[in-house]
This record gives sequence, C-alpha cells and structure tokens, in this order.
Amino acid sequence: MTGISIVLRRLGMTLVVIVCVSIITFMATRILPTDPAALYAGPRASAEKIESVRQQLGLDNSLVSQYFSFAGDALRGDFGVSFRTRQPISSDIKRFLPATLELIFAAMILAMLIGIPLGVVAAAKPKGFVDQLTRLMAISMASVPSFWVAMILQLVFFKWLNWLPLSGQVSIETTLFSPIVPITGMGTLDALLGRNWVGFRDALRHLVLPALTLSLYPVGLAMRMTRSSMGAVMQERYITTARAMGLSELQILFKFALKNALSPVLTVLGLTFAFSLTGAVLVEVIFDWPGIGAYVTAAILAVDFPVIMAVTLVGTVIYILVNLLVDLAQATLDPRVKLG
Amino acid sequence: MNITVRFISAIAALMMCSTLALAQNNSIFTATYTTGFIDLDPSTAASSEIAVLANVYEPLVWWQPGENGSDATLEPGLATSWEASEDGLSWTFKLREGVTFHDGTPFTSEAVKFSIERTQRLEGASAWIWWAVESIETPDPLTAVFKLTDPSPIPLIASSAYCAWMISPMVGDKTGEWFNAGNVAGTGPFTIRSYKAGVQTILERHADYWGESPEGGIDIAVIDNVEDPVLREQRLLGGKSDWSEGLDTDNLAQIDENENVRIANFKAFQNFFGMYNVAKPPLDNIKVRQALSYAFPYDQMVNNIMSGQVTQARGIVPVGMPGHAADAMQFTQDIEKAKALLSDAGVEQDSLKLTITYTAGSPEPQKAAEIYKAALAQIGVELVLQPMAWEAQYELATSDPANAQDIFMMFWWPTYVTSLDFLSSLFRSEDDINYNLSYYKNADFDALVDKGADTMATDSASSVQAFEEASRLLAADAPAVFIYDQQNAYGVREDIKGYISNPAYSHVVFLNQISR
Repeated sequence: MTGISIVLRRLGMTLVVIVCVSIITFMATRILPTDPAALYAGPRASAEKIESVRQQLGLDNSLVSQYFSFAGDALRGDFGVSFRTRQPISSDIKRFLPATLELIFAAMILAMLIGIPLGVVAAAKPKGFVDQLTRLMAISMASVPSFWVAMILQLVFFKWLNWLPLSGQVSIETTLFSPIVPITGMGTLDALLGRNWVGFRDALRHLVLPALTLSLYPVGLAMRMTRSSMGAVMQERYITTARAMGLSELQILFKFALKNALSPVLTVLGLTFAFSLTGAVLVEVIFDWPGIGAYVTAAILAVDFPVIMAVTLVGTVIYILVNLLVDLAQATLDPRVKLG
Repeated sequence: MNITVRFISAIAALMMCSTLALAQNNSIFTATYTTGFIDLDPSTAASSEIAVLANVYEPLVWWQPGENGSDATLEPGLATSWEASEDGLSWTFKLREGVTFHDGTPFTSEAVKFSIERTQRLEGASAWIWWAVESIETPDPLTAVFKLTDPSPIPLIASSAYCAWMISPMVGDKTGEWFNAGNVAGTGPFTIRSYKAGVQTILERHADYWGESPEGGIDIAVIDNVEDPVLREQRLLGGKSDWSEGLDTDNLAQIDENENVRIANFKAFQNFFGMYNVAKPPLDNIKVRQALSYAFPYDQMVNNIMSGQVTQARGIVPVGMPGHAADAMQFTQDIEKAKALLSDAGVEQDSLKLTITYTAGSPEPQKAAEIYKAALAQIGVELVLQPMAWEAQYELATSDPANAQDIFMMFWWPTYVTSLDFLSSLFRSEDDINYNLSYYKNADFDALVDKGADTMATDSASSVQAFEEASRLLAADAPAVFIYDQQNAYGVREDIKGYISNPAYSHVVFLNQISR
C-alpha cells in the first residue's frame, strides 16, 4: 500500500472512532444526576427561571435531537457556549489547548534530551553505576506524586532561592509592558516569533518548573525504555561485527544501536504525550497554568456538558493524530515495520 | 571554556535573573480570587463578579455600615438625594451632575430608566428586587421618578450589590455576550483593559472619572482567579498578590505573623445553617428539631474548625443587620437535654436515620457534617453524609418533601441589606418552593414578616421591630440549625492603605479607595 492510501484509511478509521466516542461521552454526561440549567441560571435563581433556562439551552429536547444538534454544530466548528464561563467554547479551547501543548512539548523535549542519553549510557555498561542509578531514578520518578514534586520545586526555587517564578505563564509586567502577541498560543514560541526577547525570557522562566514536573514520568520512562531496547540491540550480531571492524564504542552506540533502538521508545513517548493532555491537570492547577486539563476538570465538576463533549472530541482527535505520527515515524526509522 | 559549559552557564544565568529585573511598578495592584466570574453583564450578574463590576459601575445609592448594625446609612452614589411621596407610591431621585459614561454619553434620568428596565426585562436572578417598580418617569435630565405598585424601600434597593448598576443607554439591544467579551458601559473609576474568562481580568483607571482619587492610588488592577488555596497563600506571602480571599482558616494566624502581610477581618452578612425538612416526620415534631439543635457542637465548629474566625449564629438574621434579635434563643450543645427531648418525642435510641446534604468540595460544610455526625451518634441518631453538587441538592430538596433530604446545609447572603431577604426568602410559607427548603409553614411568622415588609418604606422602626419578633419566633421554633455568622478574612499586604471591606458588597476591593 502506498503511504497516501495508508493515511487515508487511518483517517477513515479516525472518523468512526470520533463518532463512537462522541456518542458514548454524550450518553455518559446525560446520565449524570445533576442539572446544568440550575448552574447556568445562577446561584439565586427561582424554579421558573431554571425551567426557562432549561428550555433556552435546549435541555428539554429529546436526547437524540440534542445529539444531532450538537453534532451538526460541531461539524461546522461551533461547539457552543460554555455553561460555566459563558464564552464560546472554540475560543476557550484556542486559548487553553496551546498552553498545555507547550507544557507537553517542553516535557517531551526534556524527556528525550535527558532520558535517552542516560538510557544509552546505562545500556553501554550493564549493571554499572549509571545503570543502577537510572533504574532507581526511573522507579522514583514513576512513583512520586506530581503535585508533591511541583510544590517542592516551588519551595526550593521560588521561596528559598527566588530564582524562578511561583506560578502562571507570564508575569504581569510582561502582560502590561511587553505583551506577547499570540500567534500559536504558546508563550515561548510566540515571543520568539515576535522577537520579544523580554517576553521570551519571562515565558521561558515560567515554563521551567511546570515542564520539569510534567517531564518526570516521561524521563523515567525514556531512560528505562532506551536502556532495555538498547540492551536487546547490543546483543545483535551486527554490533559485534561493527566492534570487530574497529569502530569506536561511541560510534556504535549512537550511530548504529540507538537508531534501531529508538522505535519502542518513540511509541511509548507518543502515548505519554496523548496521556499528558489531560493528565497535566495537577501540574496546571498548582502552577496556575491556564491549560486544557484545568479547563475540562472545572467543566466536569460544574457539569458543563458542551465543554466536556468538545474537549473529549478534541482530545480524541489529537490522540489519534499522535498515534498516526508515531506510526509513520516508526516506519521511517525502521524499514522492517510495515504500516497498513 | 568549551562550548557546552558556556551554553550551560548562559542558560543558568538566564534562569537566575532576579524577579526584580522586571521593574516593580507601585501603582499596580494584584488581587487573587477563587473561581472565575460567571457573568459580567451588570443587569444580570448575581455572583462573585461584583469584584469587577463594583469598580466599573456605580449604583444610585451606596450602603455604608455604621459602628453597629442600627446606624447604617445610605450614601449618595449617582443620586444625590431622594424623597418619597406621601403615599409611598413614588420616589423622586435627584441625580448627580457632570457624570459621563465610559463611552462619553452623559449620565441622565434616561440612563436610570434604561438600566432598571433592562434589568427587569432580562430577569436575572436578582431582578425581583424591582418588583414594585411599575414605571420610571424622567421629567428632566437630572430627576428620575420611580412609580410603584406598592410601597417599597427603593433607595435601599438601589444600593443592592446585584442588578442595581447604572448602564449607558448606548448599550441598546446588546446582550450579555457583549459584556462577557470584556466590554464596559459604566460610570465607575475603572474600565476593563483585558478579560480572560476564568483566568485574569485587568482593570485600568478611567481618566475622566467624575470623582476623586486618593494620593498614591492604583492605576492598574490585576484580578487573578486561582483555584488552589495553597497557591493563593503562596502568592500573597511571596508578594505576587497584594490581596487574597479564600485563605485556609487553619493558616490565618500563621499568615498574620508574616511581617509583610496582615489578615483583615470584616463583618459579613453571610451565614451558614442547616435547614430541617419540617414536612418529613419526625422532623415535624418541634421536640425532635430542638433535640437536633441541642446536639450540634457549636463551640467545636466556631473555635476549633473555624479557628474563632466566625461567631455562633443567633437565629437566621446575621448579627449587625437590622432585624437581628440579640435576645433570640440560641442553642448550646447539651447532649443530655437532646436525649431527653428525643425520648419525650417518642423516638427510640438508634432508630432514627437522617440524611444531610451539602455542597461537595466545600471544606466548611464537610467538617461541620462530620462533627455533627459524631455528636448525633451520642444521642442515638445516625447521620448519613451526602455531599452533592449544589444543583443536585437543590433539585432533591424542591422535589417531593417525603423523599427529600432531612437536613440541607447551605450558605446565604442578602441581595441588598435587609433581613427580609433572610426571613421571607428562606422561611415564609411557599406553595411552589423557591428557597424555603425547610417547607416551614407558620401563619404567625408569615404575619410578622408581612408586617415588617409593608412598613419597611414608611415606618422603619416598626418594620425592624416586626422583623425582630419574627427572628425570635423562628429561633425558638428551630426549623433549622443555625450554625454561624460569617466574618470574612482577607490577606492584605502591609503597604496597602485605605482598604475597608463593606459587608453589603462581599469580597469587593474598592480600587478607588486604596493606595500604596
């Protein structure tokens, strides 16, 4: 099968998945025993007011007609208005999603820059000091709660050392005096694109701690996956041959072995990416980072149906896209992998 | 130095830039609030967004607390004086000269008419306060005459925190959407510079404001919505925030010890109570209700859980509000008496099982329910805790009383400063239940409340007396367990001057009064 037809087939399957997810999520939210009309009407609304709001929001129609009116609007990109923020949901998502993506990209970059090299070194000297250390670190990083790490980082770097900011995406001085013009919605990237160096420095300083916290699990994962994958590769006959041919250990490690070992590492990192989309919520809450995780969590607690539907759908699409990209990357790296 | 080391030290230097590198501007004030603002439309807003609205808009009249409850006054806002007709069916307001809206439109009686009519038309949650207003006449640009169907204390109502703001007639047909995009149309000292719903609102000083500003006043105010209480505290202590609400009561003393921060306590007209379902046996028996009221651990709640930051309630009307009866019955925990009352009522030990509901995620009700459960266990009553979302609680309570919860814990605060909004809204008999969630039906009580309401505009002394009588009756009849009257505690940086909290406008920082 050609590359294009593979992609097309995958996109077709994506559509089916999205429809199924939307129906399941829709049913799940409607089964909840709470009343969003009461929330929307406000804290002191009378019973009649709540009833009129229920009609206004279309919540008194049949489930089927509610679903189809939602689906029809969604196809046109109109996710409706959030019951909680009274803002159009598509503009809310445009604000919050890039912020989370920025966090996740930064965490993934850290995972690759720190985790992979350490995994390589660990594999080079099995049972050596680095190997034992990375095993210990990986277990700790996977076990330690992210909110605890977040607060410890805040304590050390803000309260004690005053090196880094406590929370938020940018400082108020930047917002007022050198505002970052939103292009992608990611603070650091937009500042770079707009050559706003003051803003860039500020946004970067705010990004460090949350990205570090979010990267813990991926770093640990990358370390151990690289280590075990490399371990398997290093046993292969062509490695022994390369050694016999006189190539340096460094060349063998990074030029031959790593490339072949990267495939499972990338798969796992790709899955972690998609998981972090809503898994970043604890980090977002503690660092007051205005991301999609915090947004959808508040929506769930407030029974904000339209937001729950919209974010679930967006999340599904991203998850599937990331999977597709990871598969394509794998196919590129490793010709033994056949797509389709 | 090789390139790696240089690279690393460059990054380190970047990271280590002190926060002071970005210039600290003294006329920027940062306030931290809890959850986001729902509705910035001044005609319909009925929640925490008055934190913004009270600085951008102004009412005709302001409510000012006195030294104690009885000497509260109504101060001129956009109206300079007001007078009622003989029969109390019309109120004439003289308006302030030389005031313009943010869009340049002059403030006239047309604006008053437009604002009230828009509020009535949009029927927001608090629009009922204008129920008696039939029409508004505008004989000249600086005179507005309210024509009423029944006597009603219009100046007091015009000082309400909700639905009483004056809006520019240029708003025309615009809906709440326009306001929720961050647009403004008021007369106040500040305008909205930017609004990110649920995250941050930035207000800046309006150059052409008609009134005065203090020396060293604030030019820019940043209002942040931060969900996490620990983060709110850290921001205050770290100097990132100048003012904060929603601080954990357990930590208040510790925060106060910090030399840069103080805790400011102010009276609030908010209270906390648990409505008994009077329509569901055996809670229809007054002895049972009294037993439950004698069982509640008031001391523990006030002094331990709330760290002495609140006072025990005495009846439904909070202390400091006209209508509060200082001699009304107040229960204290007395387990023996509670047991005796229960057996008097014919309820056997360990036979009664009650369900209590309260808002999930709220710390005070959770703790209150837990200590109540332990206390009730001592008198042989089992209390089942059921935290729920507010809407679900409300729906359960307003459905069939036979299936509704037994005790409904909630907070309440008035729309404008009147005990009517406690006595009547919560306990006057209703056929279609609105907020009388205890299903209390007492004709004597209703008569007293009605008397107080009817004389409110014409004879405030007898009105207050009637309300006090009603308060006494209610406290003795125990249709609810009255737990505490709230005080609001806020964290403020020491260098902020002139900050006072007005209980009629909860959680509002009046930016035009403070300076650094």
